[in-house]
Amino acid sequence: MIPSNTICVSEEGPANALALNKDATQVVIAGRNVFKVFSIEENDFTEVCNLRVGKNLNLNFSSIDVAWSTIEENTLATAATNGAVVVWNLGRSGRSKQEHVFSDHKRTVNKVSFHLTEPALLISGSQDGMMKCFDLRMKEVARTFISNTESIRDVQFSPHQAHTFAAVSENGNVQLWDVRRHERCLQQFTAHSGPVFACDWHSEMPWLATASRDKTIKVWDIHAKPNLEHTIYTIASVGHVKWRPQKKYQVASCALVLDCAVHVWDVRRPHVPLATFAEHRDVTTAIAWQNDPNTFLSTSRDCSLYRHRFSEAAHPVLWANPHGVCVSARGDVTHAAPDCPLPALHTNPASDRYVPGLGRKQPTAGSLRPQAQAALERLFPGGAASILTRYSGEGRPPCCVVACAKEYKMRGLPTHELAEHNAKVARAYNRHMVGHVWEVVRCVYGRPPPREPPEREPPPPPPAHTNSNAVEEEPLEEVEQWAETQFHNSGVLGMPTLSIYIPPHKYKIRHDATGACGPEGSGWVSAASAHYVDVETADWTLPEEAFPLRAPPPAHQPSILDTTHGRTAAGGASPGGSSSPGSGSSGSNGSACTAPPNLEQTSSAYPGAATLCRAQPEEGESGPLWVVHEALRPHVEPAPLLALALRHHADLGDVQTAALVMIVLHEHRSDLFPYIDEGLQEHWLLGYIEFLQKHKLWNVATEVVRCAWLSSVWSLSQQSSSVTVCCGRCGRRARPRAMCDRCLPHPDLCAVCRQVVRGLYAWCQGCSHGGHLEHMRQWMEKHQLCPAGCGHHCQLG
Amino acid sequence: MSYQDDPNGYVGSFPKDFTYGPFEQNGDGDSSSLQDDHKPRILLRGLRRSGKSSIQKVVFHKMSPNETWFLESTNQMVKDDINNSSLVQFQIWDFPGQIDFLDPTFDSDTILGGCGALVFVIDAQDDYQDALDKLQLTVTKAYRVNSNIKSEVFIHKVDGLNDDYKMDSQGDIHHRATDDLAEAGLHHVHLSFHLTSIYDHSIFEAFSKVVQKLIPQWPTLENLLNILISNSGIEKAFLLDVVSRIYIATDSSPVDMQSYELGCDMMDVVMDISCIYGMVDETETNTFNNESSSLIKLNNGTVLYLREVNKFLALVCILREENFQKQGVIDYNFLCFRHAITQVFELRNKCQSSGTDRRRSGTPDAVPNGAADSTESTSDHSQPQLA
Repeated sequence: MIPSNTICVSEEGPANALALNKDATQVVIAGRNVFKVFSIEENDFTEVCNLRVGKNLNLNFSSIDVAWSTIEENTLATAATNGAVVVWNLGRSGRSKQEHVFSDHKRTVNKVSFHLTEPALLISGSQDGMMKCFDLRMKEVARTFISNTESIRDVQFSPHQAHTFAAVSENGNVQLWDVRRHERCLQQFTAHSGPVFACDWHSEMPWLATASRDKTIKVWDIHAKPNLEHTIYTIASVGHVKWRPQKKYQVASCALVLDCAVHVWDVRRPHVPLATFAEHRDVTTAIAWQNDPNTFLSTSRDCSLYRHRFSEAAHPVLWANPHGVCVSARGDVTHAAPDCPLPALHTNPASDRYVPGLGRKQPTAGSLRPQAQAALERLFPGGAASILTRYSGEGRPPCCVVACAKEYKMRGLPTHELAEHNAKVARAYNRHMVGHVWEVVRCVYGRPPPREPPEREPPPPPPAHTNSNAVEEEPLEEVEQWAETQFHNSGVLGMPTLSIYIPPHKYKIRHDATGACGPEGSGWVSAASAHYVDVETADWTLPEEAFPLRAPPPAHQPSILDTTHGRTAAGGASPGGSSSPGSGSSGSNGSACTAPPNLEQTSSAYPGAATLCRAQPEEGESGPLWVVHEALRPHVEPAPLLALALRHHADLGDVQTAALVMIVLHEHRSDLFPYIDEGLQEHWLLGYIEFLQKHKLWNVATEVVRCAWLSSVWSLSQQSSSVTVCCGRCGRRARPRAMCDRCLPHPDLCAVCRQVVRGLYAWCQGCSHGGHLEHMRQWMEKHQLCPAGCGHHCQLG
Repeated sequence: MSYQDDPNGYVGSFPKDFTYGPFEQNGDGDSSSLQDDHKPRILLRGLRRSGKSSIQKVVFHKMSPNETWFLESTNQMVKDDINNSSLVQFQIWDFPGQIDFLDPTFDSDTILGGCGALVFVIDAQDDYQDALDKLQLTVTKAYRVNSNIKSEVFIHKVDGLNDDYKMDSQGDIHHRATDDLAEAGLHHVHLSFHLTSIYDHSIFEAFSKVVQKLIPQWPTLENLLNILISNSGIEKAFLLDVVSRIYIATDSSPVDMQSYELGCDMMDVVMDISCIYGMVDETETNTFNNESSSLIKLNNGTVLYLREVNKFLALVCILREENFQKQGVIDYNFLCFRHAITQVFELRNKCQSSGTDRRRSGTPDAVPNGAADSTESTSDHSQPQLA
């Protein structure tokens, strides 16, 4: 069970703490019923001394914490539950080594720690929130520090500044004190949302690691203002934390409950431990590094003392399935995962699910031809089961919905003109389905403009992608080629890394009929890399790209629409790999089906409203659908159909279209009311407003609020608007209609002439600089930027 | 904060005739009416809709958190006596948010005079600028009337916030509130901050910490618990208030939320069972008596052990199954513990009844040491059996 070169000693009771002497040759363990010194030998611990001896074993022998002087070979200190701090001298003759008992604390002392350079100084942190600095020469309390917090759980002297120590407390605060000044702490900040149980200073950097009940370890840069550098997320409350010597970024921790293992983390990889030592059968109570980075000791509630060697560590990274998800700035999402059996991919529910606004998912590896797949598996047996999928929105402006939102018009013109404008906008962003809805709105609610549609309208920008209604497979000729060129080492450490790239499957991309999807067609590679983490490498960086992407092949794929040409004559473009040709025929009553198959009901309902036909695709790309003429049949009521279409768009996640069509309809809006209840209308509008606000399109959002017909929506502008005033000098939020209390004594100076302003004071509301009205006016005639030099483009008046 | 060095800290906030007499009084109408006006109070303050009444209902009236949705907003001051059922006799005064402390008609001397703790509730999900202004005014005012008052700030409704935002707002509120107080010239006034939510046990923990500061015997109780658990092989022990389930004291090892939740749940189970099956006759209202105890073994080798300490307090221990084999030793140690607690409160009562000046003789220091020593000896006596 126990690995051969890890040493284990069982004692009579669990130890709460352990401490090493300065050479790391001896270790002392202390607990309720145990207090012993062992010397550390190559394969063994040898008991040197049992300090729990004597007739009068009182509570002073039940230790919570133990510390070994960093300078004196023979001096130990323990903290007891009854508040006693006991100093022990191993050099004393006789059985009892007890040197002195300080019983100044009235409540449990949680931590004792020696000064790093001053042998006579000892500090203790107690449950009552006090810290006491003991002078061992005078055998009395030199200073008492009152933290004004709850229990102090840990105190540690800084290795960088000899007089500074850090104290962490149960209310989540970290305090820095100067040991010479007991009146006030140097600094105090809230580090965690729960009690902080331990802290540890980094030996080189000005860093302090804190461990808390909120299951995180946080690394703070204490150089100037405390700044959070790293956060490590663990699975349980963290009880202890210790930096690994000589390693800049590595820290060891053990949990207070649940988790018995000791983990060593790299702070830059906060979710997976670098190494795990799971020998203990109960929670670990203390850890200490043995002066070198490769061995440390730990005690546990299971009454054992272990010496762990780093070479025996388990590396959880190796067990994990590497899954990668990345969101690009343009909203694309890629996901890479290994270990997914290839055939299972087709039944993967996620691949069938439509992700509105994100585009289609492309299971690349899953659609390889069998022989290519076999070749792959031969070459890369471990990684053959990898997939890399991508939810793409590439090839168009960052977000076409946002772009459309900026350009859509919603008032000021008759309905049909607005609709026409909006249709153009939608087309310009390749949202042909949306454009089509607008066309329908134009036809239904407007006068027909006499014109030949295909010539009159400017042709939409050539779509950067192609249409196809079926997934075609392309022979994978260049298996060998990519196999050679793509086998990179993307390993983090220069160690060989198992990387595999699965060649792109060339999809023939259809236009996504809803316009929510952009062109795909890029080749995708995937990699399953098991990063072996080198324990010897002190400083490694994570790769920026876990999966080097292959340059996308040209997206334009001509000659694939042949199969669809026949059908387009009938006006049916039935996009979607899974669609049946039958959807095209659903428009058999002489009108066009313009919807993707899942729109069948809706689209088959459209023809009543307008007859549409499809421009013949010329160069192998599909043109959008044009309204040729409107044959408004008198017996067809358009409102329910339009309502249905809007609902459908909203269901797809495109609340923009739904909301805007309703707005643009103006006086015809009431036609739809029987079919869309008011709650839904409000839902759409609020959803769209929220979307706009999320994208900081405040003006557009306000416009929507203004155009809204529901009282609950247009009253938004009166409810939630608040104006706050902040002081121009210090930036603090001031109370309304009052000067900032802090800056009150200082009069306001003119930014131009630097004189005190008496009388009228004009200021820019953007940057809050200002001055004499006349000076500001003169300045603004000549300049655009703020006279105070803040770089703001000021506006006066 | 040092509770030992500063005996006046709580002594001053307790009226002289205030008694901790949970042992001999049993629905004693006379004494309760006498003390009625002098109980230490916990004032709940905060802006309107910040959740004060919800806190009070959830903590002291066992209302389920979801039902607090239907609470009407409070329109008048609600006094809630916690004295008749609990060890800690105090009143919770739930103020309507809109009452202005600075209103001259508001009798602040009476209200703040006997007040032990001021709990200010800030809605973390709302803009808290106004709340901070109000906090500063309230604390300043309260401090002027009663300089011994403990100011606690509950940053409430944090269940709806993510962790980062929680941290940010806590830091921000802390910073700004202390700044505001410093500006008002109250550098030495200390605010304690708690992140709370009624949907988990954080509100109970926060209230525990508030109440603990009002109990002069708290350090003594903690020491007693320390001795008990170290001699009985118990991992964690809570001294729970039977009615509200807040912990009056626990040992000095770190409090783990799960253990506390376990303890609360166990308390609930015991109370429910004894209410249903424990009634001997119709007139008996309190079915929790010194016969009450409960033992729950969990399948992970942990044992929960509950014993009644007195009418208002129960001890919940969490320990390993292997340490529970010698239950007799634990029971014996528990009896010593119960005896010690009785002594602690009897001493207090004696001091009060003899009419000595509590500021001299009733300092808490005298109590813990004496009591601790007495249990120490008895516990030591039981130790050989343990080993």
